[in-house]
Amino acid sequence: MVEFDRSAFIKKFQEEATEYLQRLNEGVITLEAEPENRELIDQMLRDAHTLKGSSRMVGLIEISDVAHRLEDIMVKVRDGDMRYAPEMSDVFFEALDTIVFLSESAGADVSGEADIPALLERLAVVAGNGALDEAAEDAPAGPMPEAPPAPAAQSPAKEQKSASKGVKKPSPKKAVHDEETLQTRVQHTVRVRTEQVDRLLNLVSEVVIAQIKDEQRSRDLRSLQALMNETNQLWSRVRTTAMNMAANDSGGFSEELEMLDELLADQRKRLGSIVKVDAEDASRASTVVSDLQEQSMALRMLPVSTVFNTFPRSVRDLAHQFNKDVELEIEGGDTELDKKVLEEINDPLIHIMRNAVDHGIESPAERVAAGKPAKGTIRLAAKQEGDHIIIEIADDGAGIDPEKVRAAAVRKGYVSQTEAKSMSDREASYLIFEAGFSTSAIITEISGRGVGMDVVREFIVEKLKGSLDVTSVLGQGTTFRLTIPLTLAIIRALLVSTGGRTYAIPTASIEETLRIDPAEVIKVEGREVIRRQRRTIPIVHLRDVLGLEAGEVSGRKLPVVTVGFSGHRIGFLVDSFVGEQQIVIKTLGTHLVRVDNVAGVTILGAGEVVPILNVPDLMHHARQLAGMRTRQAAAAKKAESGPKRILICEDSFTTRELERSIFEAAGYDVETAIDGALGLAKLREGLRVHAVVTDVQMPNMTGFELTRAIKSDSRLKAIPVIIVTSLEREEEKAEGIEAGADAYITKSVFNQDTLIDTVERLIR
Amino acid sequence: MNNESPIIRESLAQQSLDILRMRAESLSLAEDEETTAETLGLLLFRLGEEWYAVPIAGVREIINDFVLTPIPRVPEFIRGVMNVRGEIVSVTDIAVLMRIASDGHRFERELPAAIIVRTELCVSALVVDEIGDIVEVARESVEPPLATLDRSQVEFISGSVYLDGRLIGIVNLDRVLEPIGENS
Repeated sequence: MVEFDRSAFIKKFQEEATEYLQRLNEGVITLEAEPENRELIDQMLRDAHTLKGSSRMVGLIEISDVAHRLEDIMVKVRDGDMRYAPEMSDVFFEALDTIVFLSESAGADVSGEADIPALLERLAVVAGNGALDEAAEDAPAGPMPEAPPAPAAQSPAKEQKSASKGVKKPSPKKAVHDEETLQTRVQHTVRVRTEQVDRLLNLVSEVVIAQIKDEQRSRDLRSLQALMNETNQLWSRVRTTAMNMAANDSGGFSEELEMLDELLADQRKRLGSIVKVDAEDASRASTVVSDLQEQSMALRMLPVSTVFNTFPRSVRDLAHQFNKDVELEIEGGDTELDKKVLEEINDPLIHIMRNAVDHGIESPAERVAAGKPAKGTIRLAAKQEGDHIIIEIADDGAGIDPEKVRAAAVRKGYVSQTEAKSMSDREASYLIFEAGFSTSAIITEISGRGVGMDVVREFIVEKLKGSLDVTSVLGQGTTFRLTIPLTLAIIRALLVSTGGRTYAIPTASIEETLRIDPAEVIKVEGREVIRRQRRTIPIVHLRDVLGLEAGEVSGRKLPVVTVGFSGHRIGFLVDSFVGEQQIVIKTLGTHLVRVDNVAGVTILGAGEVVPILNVPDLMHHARQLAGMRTRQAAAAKKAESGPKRILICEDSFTTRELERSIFEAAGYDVETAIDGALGLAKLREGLRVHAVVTDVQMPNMTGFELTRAIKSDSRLKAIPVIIVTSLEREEEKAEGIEAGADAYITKSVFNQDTLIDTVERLIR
Repeated sequence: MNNESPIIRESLAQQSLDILRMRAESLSLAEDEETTAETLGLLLFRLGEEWYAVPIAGVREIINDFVLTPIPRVPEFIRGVMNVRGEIVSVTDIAVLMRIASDGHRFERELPAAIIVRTELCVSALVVDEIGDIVEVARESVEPPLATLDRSQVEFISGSVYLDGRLIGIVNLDRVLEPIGENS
């Protein structure tokens, strides 16, 4: 008899049980749809049986009992004594959950927390045989019922059959034997602890760093060669003269010059061959290193199905809980992803999934009323695109109402009224990712999206350095699109210098890098912005966000990095661009667990440590900073003179509202009139405005007539008049100026900046 | 919601169980070491005019020459990080943390000495004005921290010991090296 310490194997059992439980959970779902699936029934029977055996082996008798009952049911189903009915699923799941719980408790007394006898009773009822109760009751004290199956066997199903007939053999020796067969099963694969793989990967990243250093050195060598060539050219130009001079001179250096010439030629030759060999070596090494990197990364790659496969079960439970009818479709489960990334995407996926079931999918009645099938569909799909994985979660539910999000965001004070108005629907949808947005009671009005969505953002963007996208069509559904790097270890990054230090910004977050003329920086609402492709981008100094001193700025043009995150764009002014390269991500060490703005560090070729910036943090702080300035500027403006008021005379509704929103966004009070006559009437009634913006072609009174009227009225003529029109012939311009207009803007060059600029110039 | 993902819960629980067990094991080992040893090894260091010590068991290495990379917007007592043979280690200005007047480290011109210390949870380099000797003191000669120390200081000092007429505060590494930003 061999004595063995059972507790030492509990961990092993837990590991193994996770796999079986996973498969059983999946099996129950599938079996609901295909109760006749013979292969599946056999599989589940084997899994239940194995669980029973191995739990008993490690002394977790209660698990064994539960598994035993599951096995009983499966035997009956297999032998055709009963048919698997969907009603059985609930008690099956209960049993599986209980096993999970018991496995976690690892043999601790849980009689207070879980009612095992009651569960066994229910299982026995399902099995349709109360008499089995007895057998189970004496099982804990009694002998081992049967050994776990020998999974190494070529035909486990056959083995299974004889085993499940109940060969009872009280033999701990048998258990030891099974431990051996468990090991022989592993032939083509090696089970390696994740830490070991991680250590290996750490070493590989060190190699990668060394490789990057090598490449730097090769470049240094080549520039040395270039220097050498220059020296040689210079020398060949002066050589003849020097030789002649030396030959004529009695105490000459002709011999030394001869030698110098030879030495230089020799040096050049040798350096040339070193550079050549080095280049060859470097390119060979770089191939090997990148292969090594790729292969070692592959060690940690697992199919996304390891995470996805838990969802059919949880979606089923959720649907049950919220009284929804939902079908989950899974695609691309075999797409592979770094294990670390997989662990991190589980939580965000659960959040999105829960939201989709709870708030996305409508109740069956609502769906039918809306002309949709009663059963909602959630599609979970993964695919690889380049060095990224795209995961999409699409539901065909109610969708996000951008108007409600806007309203809620304004009420909660996330954005101002004007900001909300100027946001596109798409930008508005992103508001659901704001931290804390979710906890607000208002969220229920905006169909609840946002519950925990900031968590999603945190995981995907901050931890995984991925990106997040949401598109929604009201009434038709919502699609979340997560873009996640394949690996967490190596990324491309732009190195920038600010405040005299170098920082890395992940390239994935960068939209573009620009060099702008200082004159392109416009002040709006106390914020500094630039115009890019018809969009206004706020800009801030990166050093202000990071709290650094001003550094050296070279050149007249300002380097700007624009980054985009969840629909917002911000330009960060830096001192200079250093370059773009692959970097190996390292954490800040064990002491600094989480630091604002800094996601980690990387070590450059020269051993220099460079912080990697955390883009969401930067955006957040940049917006806070800009917000502070806006409030200060707004307060200053108000203290000065109160808001400026503009009268807009325009017959076209669209143009009128467009102009109104532009001025309101810039902090103006806006009055409108639908034609010149009404506008003039308002002014004559005593409406005090700082400027009049008018169209030309309007009913009743044209813009020119209005201008003339204003300019000929002694009380009104001081008011600047800006004519905005589609007429752009010179004669018309002349007519406008002749009428006394202060500015004339044609609609073809019309944009919000020229309009605001013009008005601001005129009223100051 | 209790039953949304039993498998994930289980594997997480399992992982945390592992971590806890490992910690428990190493803690119980450390306990054994300490109780069996009758003397306590201390590494002395100077901050301004005072001398302090760290238990030698918590010292990993001494670094005399390092390049500091500042990290923006961290607590004042964190000077930044350094690269120790590929490992990133935070640099803690213990004088600032304990509010002790020190020589004032001129990081730009002169690199101060640093003691790399570790606890169960983390590793950091403490910058000091001068590194002194390693001494062995009898465990029973260690007294509780001076009652005159103010509250903010007393939590960083686990005890004090008289050496050559000088009172030396023994730094409580577990308190000095608390992980930063864990809960934020």
